Amino acid sequence: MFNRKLFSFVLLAALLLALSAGAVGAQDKKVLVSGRQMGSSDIPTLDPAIAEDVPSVQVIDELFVALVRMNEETAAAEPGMATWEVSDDGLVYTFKLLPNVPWVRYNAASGQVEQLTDADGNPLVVTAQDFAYGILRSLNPETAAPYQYVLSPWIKGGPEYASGEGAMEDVGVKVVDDTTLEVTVNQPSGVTPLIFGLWVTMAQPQPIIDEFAEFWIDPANIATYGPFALKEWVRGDGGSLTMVKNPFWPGTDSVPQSKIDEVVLRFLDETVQLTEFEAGSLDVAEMPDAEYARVSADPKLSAALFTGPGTCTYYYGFNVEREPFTDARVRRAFSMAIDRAGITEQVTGAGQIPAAFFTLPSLNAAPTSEMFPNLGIQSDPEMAKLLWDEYLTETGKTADSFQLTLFHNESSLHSAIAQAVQQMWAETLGVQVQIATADFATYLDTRGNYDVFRAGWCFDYPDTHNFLYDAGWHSDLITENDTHWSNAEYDALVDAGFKAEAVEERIALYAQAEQILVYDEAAIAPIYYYITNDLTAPYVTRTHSLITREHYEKWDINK
Amino acid sequence: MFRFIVRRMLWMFLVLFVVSAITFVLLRAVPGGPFNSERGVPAPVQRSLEAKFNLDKPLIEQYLKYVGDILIPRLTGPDFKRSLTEDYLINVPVPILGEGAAFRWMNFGPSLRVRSRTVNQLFLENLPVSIQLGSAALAVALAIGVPLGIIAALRRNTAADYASMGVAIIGVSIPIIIMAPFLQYLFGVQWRLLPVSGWGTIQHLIMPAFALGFAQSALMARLTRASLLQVLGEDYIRTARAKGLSERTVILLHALKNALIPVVTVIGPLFAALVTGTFVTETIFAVPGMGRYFVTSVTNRDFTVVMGTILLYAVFLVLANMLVDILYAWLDPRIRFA
Repeated sequence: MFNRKLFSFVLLAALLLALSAGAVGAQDKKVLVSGRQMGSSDIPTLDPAIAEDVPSVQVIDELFVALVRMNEETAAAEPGMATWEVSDDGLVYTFKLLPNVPWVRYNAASGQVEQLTDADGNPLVVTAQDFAYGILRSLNPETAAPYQYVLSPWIKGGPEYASGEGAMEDVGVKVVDDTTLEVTVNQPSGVTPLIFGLWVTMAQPQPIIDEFAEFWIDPANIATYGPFALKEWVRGDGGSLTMVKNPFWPGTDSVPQSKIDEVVLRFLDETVQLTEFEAGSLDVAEMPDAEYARVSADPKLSAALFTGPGTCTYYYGFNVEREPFTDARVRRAFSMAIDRAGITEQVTGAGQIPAAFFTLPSLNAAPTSEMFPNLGIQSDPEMAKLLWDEYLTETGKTADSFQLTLFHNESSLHSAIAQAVQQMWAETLGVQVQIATADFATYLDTRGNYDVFRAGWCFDYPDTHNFLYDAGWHSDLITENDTHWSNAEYDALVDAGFKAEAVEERIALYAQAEQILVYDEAAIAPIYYYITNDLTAPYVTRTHSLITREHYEKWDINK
Repeated sequence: MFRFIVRRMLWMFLVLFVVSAITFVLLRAVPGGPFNSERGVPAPVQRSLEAKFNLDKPLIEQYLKYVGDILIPRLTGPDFKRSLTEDYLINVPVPILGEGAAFRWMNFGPSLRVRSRTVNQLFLENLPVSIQLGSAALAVALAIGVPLGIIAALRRNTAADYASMGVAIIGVSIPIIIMAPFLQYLFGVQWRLLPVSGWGTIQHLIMPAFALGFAQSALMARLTRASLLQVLGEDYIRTARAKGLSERTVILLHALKNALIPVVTVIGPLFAALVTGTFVTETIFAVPGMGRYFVTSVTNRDFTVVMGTILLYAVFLVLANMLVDILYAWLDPRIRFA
């Protein structure tokens, strides 16, 4: 009898102990499940040289750290893997690397992040050589990196090497010693530090890449050094990727050690993300615009909702080689006839902001409507009608003599916007415009053949230069510009804005360029700025990123 | 039977050859390519990408290389290095020929859009998921459909019949795109009994398999009902009953075996469809299967993945139909292999 009692007691005690240990274990480990920035498809790659899409870059930015870190809340350039000095002529950047940051890999057998070692057992650390290799590999034409064209124009000898005409030795990247890298750029600019915050400039592990070829990014092979390490990658649409805290990352002011132990990134459709969030199984979620009304009316969900600046501008491009859009007045009339507020309130309806000009106001050196209340194009049906009638009278044509087509890629949103615009043009200008659609690949290939086409531009790096230059409006990029528009005065202003050092001066120059682009010449009709709507569980403290990627090392969970 | 299978296999190769040639030509006839993007690809990058993936050669050469990579086996030495363009489905070490020698066969090429994965990896990692989901959905369809059909046939023109067929009609009428979020809301959000989405455990399988299978169970039920009714009127059923066999034996052993022939006929193509045509289900339930690749690879112009998935579907269809023919012979000995 006594024995049985003792036995039950011991059993009970053991059970309680086990339970409490389990509970403590679960409490100790902070796991965040997020769907932010991941989309619903498999991530294409984790190779910093090859990546060009938001989900890949989101993960890469946490596994690797560039020389310069973009602050996700301000878009400013901060020290990443290095601090830097610029020569007086603005052409030579000397980067001083953090010493002794080891290359690591997650070991699935031991469940630990482990340092990689050389043949003698010494830890392999990230050196200037690794960064030089990374930059050169991204530029190497054999790598066929889609993003090399963003990087190559900046670096001395870059365009020549990237196009296969120059030699690697002539590229302005020099390893001074293990922790010092010197990069010579093509022209001085205040934008340059942000370029060294791009993933294509990150350190890349040459021995691993040589050994495993394209499969070097598999969890069993990869070597990384950033605040997180790669634990698991379930490939396929609807899959997931798990990052664990890298205990060997030293932690700096701009890139601290992570407080969260594990971040699970799930590849989910926005609708599914919202459902998962409501079921309590997703800590951070995106949501479809169509649910915005319901979510903002729901007391619990609206408390979790955050609306911040987006990363893209939605616009229509006019083909300036096709009648009647050869005339700037006509383009301006068509742009003025678009009721932007009507579209953001009635059609998109999730907090989007009507756009008076092209560049997102949240970017570096971007003009804002607070600074320049009258900048850009305003919706003005009377003026639109006046301009259009003036053109028709001058040319002796009638509104119905034109067979115009508006072209967009298939999507219910684009289609709803196109129909609204079609109606606005019919009512204000008396023009019946046809709408044509195609799937995305066909659309990209053929949109230059239509009178008006829908498009969007999302920034690669958070500076106005990326909108006013890289988007294709500068005549350097005329072959990639489907409006076929170019303007010498515009080019000069953008070039000057690029070279100017004081941010106020840059903003003033860019404002003038915008006025030409969207008003005087009206090559494009900006429609609205995207916004970001996401939901965060109440126990998560976080930063809200305006640079398309979250920096989870700054987040915390307080359950 | 052996001759039957061999003959079917030979036919299959011919079918695959024709399918692949047609797909290849159609794919290249539409505008757009795998490397297109909104920002436009600079000419040097486009050139090096095309050279890397062999897209700069004449079409006929590309096709022959594609078919050759799949069909022609290779013997490789120790210096063989697996890469995106050199990844084989079948790798058998041949130690007789020396250290590191291997027989390698069937290279379906790299995914052009996702430049870190081959079509073979996609088959190996994502196809099993689809097969599991497809099998579970088929099991659901049969488990619901066949009993409903039997009940309806045996209780013809009674309330039970109307109720069974009513359920069947609900099954076909509610599209997955409505049914799936409804299930998610009920079981995932309200009652929190099942995970809303994802893959990996039995719990994850329940909702997608049900959503996918329920719609097909209607077809099963109607087929079973019609066919069983017909069979029940046959002479040999009357004979079986006259022998004094129990009603249970008559129905289950004599009638049902023959009544299931039309059901078996549709199982083959249905299984192929359940494995490959699950785009919506996979998207809503975040199942990392093959279904989405059938659609996204076309919109992405991921030529190699389109070819791979189409060939896979063709193989599935042919094999499933062959299996059905074998099952026929078992169900009805009068049917012979021909």
